[in-house]
Amino acid sequence: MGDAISTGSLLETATGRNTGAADWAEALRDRSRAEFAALGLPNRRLEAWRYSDLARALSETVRETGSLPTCHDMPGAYSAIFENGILDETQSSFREAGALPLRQILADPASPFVGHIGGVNPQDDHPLLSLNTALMEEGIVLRVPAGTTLEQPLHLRFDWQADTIGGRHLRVLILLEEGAKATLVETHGGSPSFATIVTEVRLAKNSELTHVRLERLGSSGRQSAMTLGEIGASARYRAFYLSEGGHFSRHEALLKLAGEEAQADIEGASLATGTRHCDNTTIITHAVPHTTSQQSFRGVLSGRARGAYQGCIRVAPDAQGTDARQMSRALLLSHRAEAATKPELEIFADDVKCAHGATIGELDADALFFLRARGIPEAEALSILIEAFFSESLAMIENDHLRGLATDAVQDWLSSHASEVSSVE
Amino acid sequence: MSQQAETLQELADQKYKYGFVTDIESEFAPKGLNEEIVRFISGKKNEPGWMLEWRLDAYRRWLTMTEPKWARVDYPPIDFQDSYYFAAPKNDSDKPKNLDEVDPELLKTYEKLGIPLSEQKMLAGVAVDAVFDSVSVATTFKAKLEEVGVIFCPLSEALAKHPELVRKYLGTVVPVTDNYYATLNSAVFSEGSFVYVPEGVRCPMELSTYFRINASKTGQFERTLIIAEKNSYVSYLEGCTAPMRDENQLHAAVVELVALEGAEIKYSTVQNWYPGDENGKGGIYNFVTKRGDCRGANSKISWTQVETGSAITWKYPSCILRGDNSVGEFYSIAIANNCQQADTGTKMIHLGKNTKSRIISKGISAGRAQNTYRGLVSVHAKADGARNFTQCDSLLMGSRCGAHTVPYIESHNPGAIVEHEATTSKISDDQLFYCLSRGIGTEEAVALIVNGFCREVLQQLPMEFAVEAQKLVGISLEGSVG
Repeated sequence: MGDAISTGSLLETATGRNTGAADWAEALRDRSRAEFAALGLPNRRLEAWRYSDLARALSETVRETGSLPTCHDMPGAYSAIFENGILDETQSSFREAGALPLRQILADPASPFVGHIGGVNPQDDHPLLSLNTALMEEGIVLRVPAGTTLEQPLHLRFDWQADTIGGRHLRVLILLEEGAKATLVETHGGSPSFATIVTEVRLAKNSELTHVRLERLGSSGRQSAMTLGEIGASARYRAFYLSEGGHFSRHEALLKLAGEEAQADIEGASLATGTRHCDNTTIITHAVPHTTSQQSFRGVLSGRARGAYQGCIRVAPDAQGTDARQMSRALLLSHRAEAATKPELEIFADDVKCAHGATIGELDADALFFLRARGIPEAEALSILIEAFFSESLAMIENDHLRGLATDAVQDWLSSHASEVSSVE
Repeated sequence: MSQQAETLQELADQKYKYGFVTDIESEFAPKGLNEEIVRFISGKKNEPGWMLEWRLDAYRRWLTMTEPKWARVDYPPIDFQDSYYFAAPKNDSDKPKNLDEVDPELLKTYEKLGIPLSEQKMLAGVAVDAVFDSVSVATTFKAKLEEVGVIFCPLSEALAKHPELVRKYLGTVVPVTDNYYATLNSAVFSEGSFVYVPEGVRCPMELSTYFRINASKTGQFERTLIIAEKNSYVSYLEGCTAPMRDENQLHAAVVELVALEGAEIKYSTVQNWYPGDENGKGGIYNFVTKRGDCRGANSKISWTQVETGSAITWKYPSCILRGDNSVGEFYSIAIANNCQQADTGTKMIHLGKNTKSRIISKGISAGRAQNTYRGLVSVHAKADGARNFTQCDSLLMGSRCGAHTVPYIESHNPGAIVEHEATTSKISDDQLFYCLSRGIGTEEAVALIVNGFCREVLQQLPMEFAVEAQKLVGISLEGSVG
């Protein structure tokens, strides 16, 4: 359940909190607070927020329809459990992975993470990033030392089961040193009245991060998340993002391929019904020569759901040898669903291979008929076809365990939303 | 590669072939823009009262608007008061009836431009309504068009002879309030063409107009209105070259097309205005609003453009697919060399059932140029069975240029199929080597490869233009590989 939130009310929150942070952290917050005050909450008049009017979504009072969903489970992982935006250390095991709570870092005047927090692929004029930095309190910081592999995934569980007045703003920092390997799993469940979550990821030479985001928000959930990344030479970032939308749900992947032979692969899946909103935005900057990126986003929209994918590939001058590919596919299952796609290329170097493709359409009528003719009920046939639609994305996940997790998430959604999906119109 | 580079350098250094100034006395409206100027233009044209009101309304709205800044183009602020808004060749009171009566200075200009006005009758049967600066001076083949009832005349003449038609359609596709430049154009447009094709008539020839900007510091604000009645067909060609200038000249045209039931309009443009020198000095600012309305069922509007000139191009020929089963097409080649900036594309608005659109855009950037494709495909909830295919290809030549693609795809209908694909590449060394090893010179090889890259679009042009366009594509680019 969420009440109205405005730029003003958020700024008041900023002055109201005193968390005993160190001078550097306070200075960072003050600066960001001033930036946010100048920019305000984004609305659809801003090009980057054309399909996601956050100011408007927050001005509405929304009620949850149906029961609140919970997070996907991830047994056997190092965990950091956030209940309504507050880290619950007693239930968490993140210290075993060498991770530390953000509070501890922010209070440390000589923290080695100064300069990293808020310093990964910084963005100009990004109101929500400024907001998050101004108000961040809770979060996790993980550094994986050179040459080591984090044995188990680090699981960040964000569960929103109760009202959080004024919103919560969380920050995650992951540093992989040279040759390090790790897996980060984020699960989001329930309905935050308003949450911003920023995950900063810095990958040193030859390191490898697998990042899985599973978002299962309630229909009144309002969340805007950002993943900021800097990927060093020969380092690799692999991601799978799954989102079921919410009253407002947006995830931005803002990645910079900063070293030669750096690589980013992103598979995205979004499934939305009802009146949900789901926005996937990516900006991948190829800053140096010989870097590779691959993105593929798929979405299924039914009911009156609105889905957006905005993907921008930027190739800096002299970033020769760039290979960037981007694909987006949306399936509309109802007459009142909407899909918007904006696959953008900004290219300032000539020896590059960049391609993007985008399609929007409905399920193949022939395929549906084929299944129906074999006695499969319509709802089931639709499920089969939607599952097939996502199977290519799921197949890209290399780790068996993670692939299983993601596949289950898609299947869960299909079984729990079968009736909504099949009621076309 | 160095030898190639030299050859290419020579080509790059080629000066703009069509840069010259014809010395003809012009009659100017005083510099600047205010209500008096709007009245002056309207008075000069002997326009009816409602037209003046329409212009004044546009002018007042324009005062409240701000220049759009969203395009990827960069230019110093334009001082709209530092420009002339009307210039007419002096002897416009007694219009020439045949070529002999035309000012010989003008004829010379046309000859230099290679417009074969005097040979026109023997050539492909093209009627030319040549707009020199702002007043049309010669119209040929009029009689032949009159036979079938096609009206093809300057807009001012149409206002005098067919005011009911102009009043019915003017501003219905691009409303006065549409955008900053279109509103400005509505206030001060001085000339343009008017085409009306009656029901069931297939226009017997390609209609063509050459627009020229001649007098220094005069913005040219043409306004073209084409109406195709039920089941009619017309193909319209527009070609442009302009003399060399050091100061930027503003150009804000508006083109409106109306296709009624079963009608087809084909609109082709070759735009080769002065792009500025190799350092970006001078050149035309080309801010154009072009839009077609497929108002009736089964109608079709097809835009084909070859944009090689202008310092800045800001142009999005669009189709509103209102009628069921209507078809919109956009074929574009945009070439930007040296310091040129092009931000061009299209909008396809699918409103009717089973509407179809096709977008083929070829962008070529060379030197330090920036070339952007910006397009919108929008499918509304009632557009069942709508279909779009978009292909945007960019070719980069040189490491200091930029190629950008900004497509917007919005679908509100599950029955619609929207497809978009885009690629970016450079002329591959393999292709070049293949040609060179067969004894084809670098310059020819580049022209060959680029023409191949653009082939799908060039094919869409009428014969008369295809030849000119192919040459243009070759020449305007070759300078930049190496």
